[in-house]
Amino acid sequence: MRLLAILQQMAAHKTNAILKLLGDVDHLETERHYPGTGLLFSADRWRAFYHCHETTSIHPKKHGHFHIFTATGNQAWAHVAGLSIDNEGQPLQWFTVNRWVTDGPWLERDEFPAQLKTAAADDGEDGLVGSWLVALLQLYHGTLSALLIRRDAQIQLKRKGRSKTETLDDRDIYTLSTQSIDLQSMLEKHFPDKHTSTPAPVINIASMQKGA
Amino acid sequence: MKRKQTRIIVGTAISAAAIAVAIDHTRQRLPEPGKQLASQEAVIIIDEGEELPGENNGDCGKSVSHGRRASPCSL
Repeated sequence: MRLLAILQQMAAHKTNAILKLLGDVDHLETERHYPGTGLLFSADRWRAFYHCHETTSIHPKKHGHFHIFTATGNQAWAHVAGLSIDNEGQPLQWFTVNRWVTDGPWLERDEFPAQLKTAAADDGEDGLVGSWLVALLQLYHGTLSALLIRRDAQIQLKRKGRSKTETLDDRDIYTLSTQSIDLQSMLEKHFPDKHTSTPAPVINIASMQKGA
Repeated sequence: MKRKQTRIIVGTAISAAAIAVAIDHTRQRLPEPGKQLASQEAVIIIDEGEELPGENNGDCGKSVSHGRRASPCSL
């Protein structure tokens, strides 16, 4: 599995996606986007940035989050989902937010499978962080589909006689759907099906334990 | 058949261990985020006898309604 190989590469250098992304940033500033121009990946069809808010998060372990966007043509970007990260660089939860939060269109749930296929075209030029995001999007495609369905259901629920546009612009509605995740369990669940008798991990474990 | 089952069990155990080790080694403390550094501080020079900011009870002293919150997570 590609995600495991990516994690092993990071593990060998005792790093993670966020530390890689921050690079040699001296002072991590709240509200600032990292990287400043956004991280483009999957042949520039996908884009993400990481940031931390000043306000205290509901989750005590949350450090910050990614916002992930996909290109929808005519230089437009649609928000797909957010990915919260804990203090040790591990994914905590997927979430969606109301449309005013990202100030742009969001990806319609029916378009998600087709858009995800464009992320699959990772030609190895994405760098470790881009590849990590692609692998996570793919691993959690079912979770994300369900998340987008719940997002739309929440908007319907909160309309209360108002127009959809008005509801999407309601500053009192912020998060629409969340899904906590446990990457280790998820990988363990998926791994045996595909690599039951691959001897390669033995070599990786030994080299990581020695070189770590 | 038995040999195949053994291979599957061993393979599964190895995979789980590889996942656990990889994730454990990527658990690295992230830097604490701090407030955004101010790029420039405002300097207000007040001449003698001039009113201090905030002393004015006219329109400028009224609290400003910020209206709608800006989008915090836009591209």
